Amino acid sequence: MSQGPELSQKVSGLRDVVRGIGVISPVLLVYVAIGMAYGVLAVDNGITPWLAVLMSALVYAGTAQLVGVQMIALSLPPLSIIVMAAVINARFFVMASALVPYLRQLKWWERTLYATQLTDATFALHIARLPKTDASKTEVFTTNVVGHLVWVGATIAGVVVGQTANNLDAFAIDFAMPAMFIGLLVPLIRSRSQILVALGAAVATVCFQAVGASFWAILIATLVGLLIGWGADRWTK
Amino acid sequence: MDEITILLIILGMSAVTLLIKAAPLAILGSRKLPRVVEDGLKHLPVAVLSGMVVQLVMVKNGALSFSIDDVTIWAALPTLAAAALTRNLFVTIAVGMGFVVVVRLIGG
Repeated sequence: MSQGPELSQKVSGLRDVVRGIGVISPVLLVYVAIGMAYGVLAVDNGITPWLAVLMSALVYAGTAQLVGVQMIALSLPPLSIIVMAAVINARFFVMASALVPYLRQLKWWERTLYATQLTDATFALHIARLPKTDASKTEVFTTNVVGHLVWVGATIAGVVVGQTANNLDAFAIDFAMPAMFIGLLVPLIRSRSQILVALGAAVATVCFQAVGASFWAILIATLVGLLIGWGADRWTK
Repeated sequence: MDEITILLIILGMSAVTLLIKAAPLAILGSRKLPRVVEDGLKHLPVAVLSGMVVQLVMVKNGALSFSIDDVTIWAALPTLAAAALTRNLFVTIAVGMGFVVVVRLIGG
């Protein structure tokens, strides 16, 4: 930490923009794949193109969007679709809480702006990066804005090709998200107790999923993982 | 469904989503958290992401799936290996998706 802050004073704005793009770049591949798949699915389900794109711009949460357009296609009650979005996205409450210690220096409106562009990927990237480096505001927001723009852009592309191409499975798009999450998770595991946390949360997810907890399974499993980590830390001390 | 209803659904979805994402940052904001909470938060990223990996790999159409024929379950193994060896996000994604593409090409 000794010379960190001075270092960040020296880098130019442009350097930080490039760095911000560098941080998000591996994820963009997945955003393009899933964003396009969502766009195709949306128009296939009869959503007007401009509304499909608007959903990407405003909701900006892949799983909720994919489930949402299918629920709309089934003409399910609007309120149930909104509740579904809240349940699927409940995990972001947990993620945002974990980021609080590292975003303390931001102004309240900057934190709100950050929240609008919080995704699973930006959470994982920033929770790995912010505790170790004194990343600048420019870098952090570049990462967020670029991710958001590419997500919306990919949706537009998907909406455009939607009517023509409909077999995207050939490109392994159904494995894009799992691959990205494995790549985001593994580098975060640095100690034995964290291996236990990962295994515990994984087993708990399978168990709670098996008894039908579906989207709540993640939150309960997270809690189980935290308890295991808390116990493991005390055991090894 | 007509466009206005869909528009309202989208606005509703984005409102609840933003509320969930912004609440901790807005409420806790610049306050210092108690030690116990910060200690607990330390393991949160690994716990939540591990749960999501399992759900993404093993839950298909809302139900647990252990199908041996499903390449996207097997693909998790080389992907995990690539992640552990390289700790590089781009390489991990490329290995994972590449594995699935190759298996599908061979399998027809």
